[in-house]
Amino acid sequence: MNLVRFHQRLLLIAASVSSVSATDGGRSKEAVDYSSSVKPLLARKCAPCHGALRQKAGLRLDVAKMIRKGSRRGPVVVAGDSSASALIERVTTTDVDERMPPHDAGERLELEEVRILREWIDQGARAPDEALPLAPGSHWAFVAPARRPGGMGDSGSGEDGDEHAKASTTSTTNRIDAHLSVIQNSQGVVPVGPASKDSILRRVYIDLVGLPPTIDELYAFREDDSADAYEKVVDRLLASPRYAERWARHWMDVWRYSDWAGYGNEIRYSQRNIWRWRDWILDALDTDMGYDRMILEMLAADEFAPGDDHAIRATGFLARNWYKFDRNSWLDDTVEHTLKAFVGLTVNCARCHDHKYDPISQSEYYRLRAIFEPYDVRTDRVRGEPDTSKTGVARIYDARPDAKTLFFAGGDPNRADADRTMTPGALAVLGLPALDPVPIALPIDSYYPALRRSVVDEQVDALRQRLKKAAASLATAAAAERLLAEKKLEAARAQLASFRSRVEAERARFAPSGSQAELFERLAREASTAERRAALAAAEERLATTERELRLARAAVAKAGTPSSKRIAAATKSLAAAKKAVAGARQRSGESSSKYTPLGSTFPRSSTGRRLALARWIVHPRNPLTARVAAHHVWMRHFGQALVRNVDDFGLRSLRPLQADLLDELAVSLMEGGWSMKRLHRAIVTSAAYRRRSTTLGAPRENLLADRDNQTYWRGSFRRAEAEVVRDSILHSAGRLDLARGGPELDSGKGQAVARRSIYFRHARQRRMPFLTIFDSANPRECYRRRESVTPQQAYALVNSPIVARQSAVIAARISARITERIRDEKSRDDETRFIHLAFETVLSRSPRADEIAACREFLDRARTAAPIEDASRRAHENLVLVLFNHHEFVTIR
Amino acid sequence: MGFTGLALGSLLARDGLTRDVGAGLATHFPPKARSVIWLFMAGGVSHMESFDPKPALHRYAGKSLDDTPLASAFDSPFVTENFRPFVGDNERSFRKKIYPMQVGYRPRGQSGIEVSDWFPHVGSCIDDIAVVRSMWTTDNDHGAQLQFHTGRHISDGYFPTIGAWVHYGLGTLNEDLPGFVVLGNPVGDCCGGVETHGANYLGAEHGGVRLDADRPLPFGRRLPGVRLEDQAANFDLIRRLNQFQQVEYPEDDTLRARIESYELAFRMQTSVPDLFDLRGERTSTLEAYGGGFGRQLLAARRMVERGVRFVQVYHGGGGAGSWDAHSGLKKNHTRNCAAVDRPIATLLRDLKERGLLDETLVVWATEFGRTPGSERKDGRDHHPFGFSCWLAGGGIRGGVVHGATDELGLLASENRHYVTDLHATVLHQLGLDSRRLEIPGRKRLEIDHGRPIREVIA
Repeated sequence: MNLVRFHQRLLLIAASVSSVSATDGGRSKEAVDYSSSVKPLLARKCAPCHGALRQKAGLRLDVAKMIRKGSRRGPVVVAGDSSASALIERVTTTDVDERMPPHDAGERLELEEVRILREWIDQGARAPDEALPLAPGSHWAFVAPARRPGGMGDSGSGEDGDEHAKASTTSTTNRIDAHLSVIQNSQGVVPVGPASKDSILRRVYIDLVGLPPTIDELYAFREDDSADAYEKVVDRLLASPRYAERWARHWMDVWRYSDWAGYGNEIRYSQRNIWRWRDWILDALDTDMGYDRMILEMLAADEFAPGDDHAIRATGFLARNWYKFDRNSWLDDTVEHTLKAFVGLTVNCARCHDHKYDPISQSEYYRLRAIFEPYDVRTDRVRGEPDTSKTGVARIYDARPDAKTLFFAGGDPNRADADRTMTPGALAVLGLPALDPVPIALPIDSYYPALRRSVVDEQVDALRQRLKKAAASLATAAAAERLLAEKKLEAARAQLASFRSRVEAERARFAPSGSQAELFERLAREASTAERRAALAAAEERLATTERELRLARAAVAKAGTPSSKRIAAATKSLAAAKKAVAGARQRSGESSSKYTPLGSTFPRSSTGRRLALARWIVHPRNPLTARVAAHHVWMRHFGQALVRNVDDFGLRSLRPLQADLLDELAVSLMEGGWSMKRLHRAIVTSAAYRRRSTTLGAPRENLLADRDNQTYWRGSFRRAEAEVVRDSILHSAGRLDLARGGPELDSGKGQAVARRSIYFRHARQRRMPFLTIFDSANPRECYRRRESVTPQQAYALVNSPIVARQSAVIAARISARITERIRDEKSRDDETRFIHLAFETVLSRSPRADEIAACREFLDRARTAAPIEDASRRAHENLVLVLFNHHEFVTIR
Repeated sequence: MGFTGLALGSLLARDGLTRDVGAGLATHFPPKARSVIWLFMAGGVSHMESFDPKPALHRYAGKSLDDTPLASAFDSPFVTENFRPFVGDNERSFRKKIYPMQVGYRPRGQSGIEVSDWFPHVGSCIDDIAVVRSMWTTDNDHGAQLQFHTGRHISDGYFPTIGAWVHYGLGTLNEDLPGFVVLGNPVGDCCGGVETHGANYLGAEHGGVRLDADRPLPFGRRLPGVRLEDQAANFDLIRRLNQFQQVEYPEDDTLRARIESYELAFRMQTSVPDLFDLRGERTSTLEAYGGGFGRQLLAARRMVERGVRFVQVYHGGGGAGSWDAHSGLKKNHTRNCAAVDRPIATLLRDLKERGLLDETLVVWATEFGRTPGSERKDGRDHHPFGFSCWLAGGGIRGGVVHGATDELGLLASENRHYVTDLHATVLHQLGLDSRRLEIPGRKRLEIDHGRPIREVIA
């Protein structure tokens, strides 16, 4: 070893806490530091089973004090003697059954890791005192949110008192600012002023309705000097149907909206008609349905509001999980994402083993699964369309109330434990009352949809129409056609009678508690007779038809002069069959029977109530997570910044955020406000924090030094506009966006040609609009947070796509017309400058600055002079608008 | 899908959503290879008729598997524990009537490794190739195509693919081109579709970009009637206007990234067509590669020359895959082999002559092998329990065989390798350790990482 390095090493050793340096066979051993080397190693490899969550064998290896204490069987570490320490023995033994970690729990320790442990023990197993970690139940997110007066008071400044007072007494909006003010003070950051009128208008428009203001809306806002001009805009936007379309897409990300996908026409994922769930989301947001009610309906509308045709659409949330090939992965998805969406926990980690980081046991995972075990998906008919293969409503129901949930050892269905049937349950750690599912007796409309009055009436109407038509035909029939027309009329009459009779019989059969048993017996006989009569009438109609066909065939042959024809042979054959059928039907019509065909499928008459119980557990006022997770999703989408790093994981690995009090404030306000989303939006977007300018130009230097990432919200934030905003804004700027609402999903391949809002296009795996995919539209499988990429493909999409070219032309033409009409020509500008102004206002919702005007003028001049082509001026103007669509500001929310 | 050229994610570190990948990570250890050409034969190539001769098939031809010493082979825990049929069909991979080899073999090169007569040209390069005869996977249907690239059964969902990990780890060497390029017809939607070269949670910028002489990037071409000079003027004004913004938004990293992305987009309008402009190639080279698949391999060589990190070339993609010889195996495989054999050998020689083979790792793979038993008389069914792949160049030992299947080619029996071992080997040669490529909040399992196949590493 050279001298310099030797000295360096000495220095290092001198600097370390446990300054032991020994030589072993000429090899120098450095002191192993507990905190930096040993503790992280044990935390990674051992603590999931021997730590705060679980103490297998009574052993904890996450705190030095407990390591020394050892297991139930005694000490595991003998300070100074690694070879006598059970810890080393257990991680190095070649006996696979003895070795730690167990083979199904983790990889064995690397040689280097064993060396670290050995040397640490040999050097005396020294460690600093450390506090015992808190019990998992006291994790910040597992304690119900409470309103705390602005901040934790870690800043001693005198202003704090005022902020506290403000926070405790005034509106949510003010409390948001008060909480942030406390954080800003503590970080030595001074918030900047409000954004310009143009800037805040564009921000709040895109944020609330997903579209920029029109030029007229921009002018109107500029001219409105009233004190509450902004608040008026906010209220108008929240009341607009466009709000629901914007925010539905956000929630569709979280709730994993996916249209059906499959191979050709075969459905493999999700369901047809899932768009009705999307329309339910639109309705729910539009009418400001409480978020708690939304959860109840999505998880259990069939139990919570059975027979409610509007509510049942909500269960698309669960129907969407349908998966053709594997019920286990279907249910796994259901459990995982229901919990991630509503309470922000990664219970899926507990499918194969107890959760390594959160207090969630593997059996709790299977108890959650038991909640969903009975459910399945079906398609109910909707008004006006009896054929459910054309349209219908995809809904869920408990198809197998008695289905058992078994415990899968290691998460492996092949290792199901037949002796361990799991009862439904939720998570103990949140400290809520245990689930107590009560079976729910369903109304007949739910379990026998074909007997619903509306369905029956529709069918009767259809049969009456048929009857009317048959009667009309008979009235005008030529003599030769009379027989067939008569038979048709008889058949139609018999069909209607049969249907009515079956309806009556079925109503009696399903009357409450057999009260009409005798009546049913009679009605059943009648229905049976009527049905058989109808069958006979149908057979006779068929016979008349075939007779007519034979007559026509013979006439045709006679006319053509040919000896015979295939047509005659076929008709003769049909006639024989028809005669036989009539004979059969006639014989049956004489029999005595009480059998008849039911009107449609029937389903179980009761539901287990498990999903409703889970939904109630989720929206329980003391559930610490539900409101926090929801409010956080909302906050993050208003600011483009998250408070909690992994938005789908509020578990123990999620550190208490700097703005935890703010998050609690939002959560409490959400619950107190009847879970109204619109109130929460209003509180957030009218806060000073939301309205600050986002530019850092002229910002205090200290702010940039202390909080460059804007964790304290001292300035407005900027973020990439979502894919749907980009596309819809292009169309809307040109006044070409088709604002029709709702309806079946549109072909994802037609996004360039069809001008509906992006939310209405088919969105499923392999079936996503390419233009939206380029701008990071949601992965339909899972998207709790959008990505915000910047790629050259986005440049191509905005430079070369037909949609941008077309709207640029429309806008350029419109602006030119406006200039010609001399509208709003209050200033003495020339036409080119006027064009540039109007183009900026139309596309970017602001006026251009001098340097921008100069650059654009230069662009227009050069294009006109350099290209001696027809329409050079028009092309230049269109290109200018296209360039503005490519402006960074167009795809950015500032 | 997504552009993968520059790792622009570097400029977008927001709340830890994206991470620092500006110039890619530094490698974890010194790399042996710089680029990868990944050749994927879709549909399932018969191992017994390509790189894994099984003369015993002749001995038992026509007999039932039950009458062979391997009658109970499928009871092995290796099979019962790992096998996850996609559809509830456990029968399909147990075709029992033994079907003889449909092609002869002969020893090739100095190493004398036996290669089938359907691959004479590749056989002539065998001294540069390491054959792995003991691959296995868990899906017995063509979802295995996805699995081969993500390491996960299709029922588990979509995950980043090997090419995306490479791109994520190393970034690009040429700022005018995507770093992860896809050539050929991709896997059908049934079997993974574009996710087979996707980046999933790593982010679209790390996904494979499909380039083709005839198929530009989405919206990658000027609309009809748009003149080049007008477009250049547009790009110029876009740049100027965006640059003005930098005064007001010096903190907006995405603004800088946006400006760069437009410059790259503009450059790619030249650099991408240049990739496919073969006028500078020698006639003999063009002739040796041939058209079709060969033309794609020539493009692949031109890409690695220009610094593309990962070129994934599909052969026979779409539907189940063209190698899927449930019947008429002989006809099917002779046709497919004829299409790929000479082009692949030409690629290996061409890379070697240009001194590129040392730094370019070539992988030849397929999603699974085919059953030793017959299906529909003259075909073979899907077979996930044992099949062959090979590697060449990029620090791989040539002229070696590693691993083996049993006497009948039923089960991988020696040194078994799940597909991610191949991934780990690729990463290792590039200087990366899979275990150190972690994304916060994205738990990867042991099976995702695999272990490098050290025996084939030089």
